[in-house]
Amino acid sequence: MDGLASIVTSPSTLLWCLIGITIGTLVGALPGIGSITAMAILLPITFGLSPLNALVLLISIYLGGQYGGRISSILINVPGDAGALVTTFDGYPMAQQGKAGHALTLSAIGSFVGGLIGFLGLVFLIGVISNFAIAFGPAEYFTLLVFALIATSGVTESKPIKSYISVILGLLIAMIGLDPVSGDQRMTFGLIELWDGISFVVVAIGIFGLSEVLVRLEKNKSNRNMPTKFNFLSLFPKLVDIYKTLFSMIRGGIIGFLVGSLPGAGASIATFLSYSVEKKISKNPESFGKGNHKGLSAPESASNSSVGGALIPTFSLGVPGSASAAILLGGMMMVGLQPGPQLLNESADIVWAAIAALLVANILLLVLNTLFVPFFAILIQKAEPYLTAVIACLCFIGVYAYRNSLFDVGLLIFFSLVGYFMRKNGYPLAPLLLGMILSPMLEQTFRRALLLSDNDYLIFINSPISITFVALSIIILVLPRIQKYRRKKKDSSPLNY
Amino acid sequence: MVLRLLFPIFLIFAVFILLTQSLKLPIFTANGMIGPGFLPMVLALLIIFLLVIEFVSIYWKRQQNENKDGRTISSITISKQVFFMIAVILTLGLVNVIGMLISLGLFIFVILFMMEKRSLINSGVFSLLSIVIIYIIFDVLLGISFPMGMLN
Repeated sequence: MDGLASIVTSPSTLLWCLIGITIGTLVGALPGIGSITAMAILLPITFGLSPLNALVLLISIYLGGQYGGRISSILINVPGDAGALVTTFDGYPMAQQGKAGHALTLSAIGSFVGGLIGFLGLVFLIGVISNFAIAFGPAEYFTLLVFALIATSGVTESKPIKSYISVILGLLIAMIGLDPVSGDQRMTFGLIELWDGISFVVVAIGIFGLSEVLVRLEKNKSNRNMPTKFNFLSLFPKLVDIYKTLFSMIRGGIIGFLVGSLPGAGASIATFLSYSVEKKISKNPESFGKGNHKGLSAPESASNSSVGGALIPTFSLGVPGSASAAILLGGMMMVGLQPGPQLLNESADIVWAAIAALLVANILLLVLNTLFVPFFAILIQKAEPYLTAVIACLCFIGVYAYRNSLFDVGLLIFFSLVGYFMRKNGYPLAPLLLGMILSPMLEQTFRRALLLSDNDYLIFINSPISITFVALSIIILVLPRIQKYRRKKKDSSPLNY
Repeated sequence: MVLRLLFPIFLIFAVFILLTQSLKLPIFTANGMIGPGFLPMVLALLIIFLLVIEFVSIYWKRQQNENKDGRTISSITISKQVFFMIAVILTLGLVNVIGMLISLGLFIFVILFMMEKRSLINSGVFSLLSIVIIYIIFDVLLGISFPMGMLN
């Protein structure tokens, strides 16, 4: 409570919170930029601030970036960053149905619920979760990642082979570059531009953003027209719609918080897992990917609650819970705070005030983003004829801005064609990106585990945590096949005639 | 149907090239640990295996007439898509000549005027405004400088 009071009663701290969420939202909405880049670019601003204001500013940018990433995902199907990828699955179809305002408001509410769960979890569980996170070694991480890949790459679909191909292709593409252990050039074809590998941002913007333009060109103008008239109330979901998705938001928030508290896991795994769970338990799984409210709100909740989860290992162990948390850690050290087990004892007032900033920023973000919904809805309607050029332009700049590399822009063009033909041939795109995101950690944990066990592969089933994830992975792989076989047997039973 | 078979063939070819590259690397190190080529090799072989299954599955269904072709795309749409991609590639090519801002402005103008059939003034004003806004947001506010090409 003292932490909350120190924020609310200090006009300068509140002001920095407001500045942080505004800048974070605006920059996070730019494709390819995201909250990581926003925090990195704005880090120098914190040098002249007090430790409290610096921490509040960085956390506000972090949270604002999470909110902002969903705006471009919903409006133009270009994810702001990895955590906003899942928002495109149901958010963009809703925008295409003329419900952009609906989608933006629902995701803002989902983000708020998730942020609240993340805040409460951080306050009450910081001690418990940090002890549990310590128990995760390389083998446990590896089995968790394999489970996440299987659970979220859609292998429960009726024709999973294309999902398998997509996710493994993503794993392989991410291995292009210098080997992290030996430094050997892997699949670089002698090109120095490929030494740093192929960036996730390039592939994401290519296969989702630029390829989307090619898909849009297939639709003639009459199909692209959105409703020309709408009333103010239609921009916002009804209370009953919000209530119906409330439990999925809470589920997403819990998943996001738990996954986010694992160092390195981050919002992307949290959002994919949440989406996968909602689809699995839904009575209408076929409606996911076509504008399902739960498919939008649950991952949004997971994304924002993962911020609270990521702060647990960051504050308590000095181990960043996500890439954005790593920048936060750097910012903390620059203002004289020493992250680690002693932080909560030595700088308790600042840390708890920063945690309270999460709550304040969350409330401010909900209010501001909801107020801007009519503006965005009108913008997307009026800008329809210009969208092809604008999306292409944003993709071009977003990719260039990431590493200042025209080679990346060339790769963008290549992957836009790959993404387009993958869509035409029924290959899901999301598993490819998920494979790319998880590949470095997957390889690192795999090699580290074998190093620790002296090449003994039994290390992956030695601990209770690893065995649990292995068992869950097998169940997810095998159960749908058994269910399908039983259904076939039942349908062909003589009693059915 | 032939087009549906071409994509798996293309992927098999591309992954095969990656496989040959990965085989040039040590699969195991001197002390018996897995080397840099191990995982790429395993993944590439796995993908090729799955793609062959997929290819056979598509070919088998083609024989059985079970697989229905998706919606066909008109030649007008294909020419629009080709035009768009050529415009993007030319824009990339012109970046180092006339600078990124001008080449993007030209790109927006061409797309609006020739593809979206907007008026000359409308296209010109929008493209000019766009590059001004891009310059302010990215160059001035975010500090991301763009190539100026010969105008440097």
